[in-house]
Amino acid sequence: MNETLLLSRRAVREVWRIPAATIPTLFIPVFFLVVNLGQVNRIFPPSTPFLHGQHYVAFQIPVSLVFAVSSATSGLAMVTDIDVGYLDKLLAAPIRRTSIVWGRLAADLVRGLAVSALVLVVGFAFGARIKSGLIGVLLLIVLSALWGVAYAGIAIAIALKTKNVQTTNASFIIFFPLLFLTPNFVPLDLLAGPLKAIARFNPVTYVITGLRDLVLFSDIHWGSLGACALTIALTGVVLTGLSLRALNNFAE
Amino acid sequence: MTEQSGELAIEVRGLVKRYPGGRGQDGVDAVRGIDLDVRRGEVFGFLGPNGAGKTTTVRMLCTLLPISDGRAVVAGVDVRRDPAEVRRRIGVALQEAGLDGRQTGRELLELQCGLYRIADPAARATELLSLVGLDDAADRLISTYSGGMKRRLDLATALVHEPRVLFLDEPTTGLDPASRVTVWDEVRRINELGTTVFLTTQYLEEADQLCDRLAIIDDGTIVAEGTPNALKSELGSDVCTISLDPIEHERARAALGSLAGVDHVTDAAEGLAVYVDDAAAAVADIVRLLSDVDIRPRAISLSRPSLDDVFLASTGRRIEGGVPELAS
Repeated sequence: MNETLLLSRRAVREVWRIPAATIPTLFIPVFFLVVNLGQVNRIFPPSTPFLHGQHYVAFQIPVSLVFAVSSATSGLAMVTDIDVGYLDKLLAAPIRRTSIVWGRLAADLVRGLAVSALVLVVGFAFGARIKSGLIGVLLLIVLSALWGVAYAGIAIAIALKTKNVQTTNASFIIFFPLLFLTPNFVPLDLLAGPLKAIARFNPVTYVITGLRDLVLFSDIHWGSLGACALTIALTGVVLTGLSLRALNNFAE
Repeated sequence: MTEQSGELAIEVRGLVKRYPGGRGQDGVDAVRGIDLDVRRGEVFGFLGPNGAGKTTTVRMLCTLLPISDGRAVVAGVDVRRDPAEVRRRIGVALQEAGLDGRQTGRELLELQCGLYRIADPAARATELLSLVGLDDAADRLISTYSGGMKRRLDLATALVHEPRVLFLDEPTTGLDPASRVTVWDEVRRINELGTTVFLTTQYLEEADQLCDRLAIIDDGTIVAEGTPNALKSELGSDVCTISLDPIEHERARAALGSLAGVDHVTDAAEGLAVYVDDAAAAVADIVRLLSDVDIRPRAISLSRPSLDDVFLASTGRRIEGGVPELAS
């Protein structure tokens, strides 16, 4: 079996075997979803123009999705591998070193698919409907999981650079400003001037908007979907590239 | 590939590891131009105190750390020119038992077999689990293993591809005495199967028990090399250790230096170590001589020279931590 597949299988096994590493990543976004709904559900009834007849939960679902999958879990697993010396064992083996990072990202994909599906189930329980139908549901799950894979590179890179748990965990905190400097509560057009300008440069804006259009509209909005997919791809290239570079420099 | 033939499993010339200094500071040489020849099929020990450069040297030879200067050929392959081929030919068990506690012993070994492209990973994993006596624990999570079990599993992971050279970095550090003896037995068995073993240790007894030949490293430099017996016999036949009041050290040293049959005198823990051809014959003369200069020894003991004495003779210091602490 190919070394990337072998290391992927190992990392996926960890996801299954250590649910405690995944559950907190699900708890926080669901908590935020419930709190946000409790605060603004009456302010934004389904008659609000930007909700297109849906409950506010539908507007918030994409935020919860990207929140749930943007975790430092793979970075923390990498720090553990460094601490116990297992990364050295892998580096001393005759394998392509990139497979070490690809294996971790495979776990992020599996974790992302599972967590996204669960967040959608919670959304359904609060009354959300995916207007674009089954295709939309699948796209929401897959794109969210791929965003999780793309974002995981930052935690892996920090783990390899610092070898420190606390610093690696901070990559999750980095995501807070990225998430909240977006049209997460209201559409981009309704944001105040400076925040709107920042949100336009924030890649998470395009991910949330692309996912949100799948929830709110029955027809696929190819423009926003394409921007979402492109943002995920570019983020993945940059952050995975950083993590591969950090691995190459690890022994220096 | 850059294979080189010969009887040497490891050949090192002028090996240097230099770490750059901070702002305005000079760099630090952790390994300072060492030469080593390790023959095929032997257990070669690399003995030295903490911070001497043992692990740095092993990490360079295992391709885990870039070489700053010099040349190293491992299992016939130049480490700098073809590190990937070196990795195919060596097994590595580093100071931290590099194991993933979230897997079972069997899963970890099967993964390791897969990474080395072993034809039947499941069969090879079973064979190795049996070899290191972990059949019963094979399907338990590694996080539940004792220190000794982890070390044996770590050894097994280093053997999946039957390496030509096995690097063991302080394989018994932190183990209790019983586990230490078990690991020694495993190392001997692996070596009997034809694998060259390069072993670093700070434990004198371990070097004495296991190694065909050894090198002593201190402050990044090799200070002695040879078989344990040859190194010890170079110091003279026996050691007479005399416990003294510290203020009498220098007077006693001066007096003993003139005694016939004394090879040399060095500092010991609470007195002086006198190297003589025959301690039993010399002890009466030593007592008489000290009495003549009005020095009364607190105690006198006789022993054969140890590797610690070799280290002392080479560096002027004892190896700190050379005797393992009992693990709790």
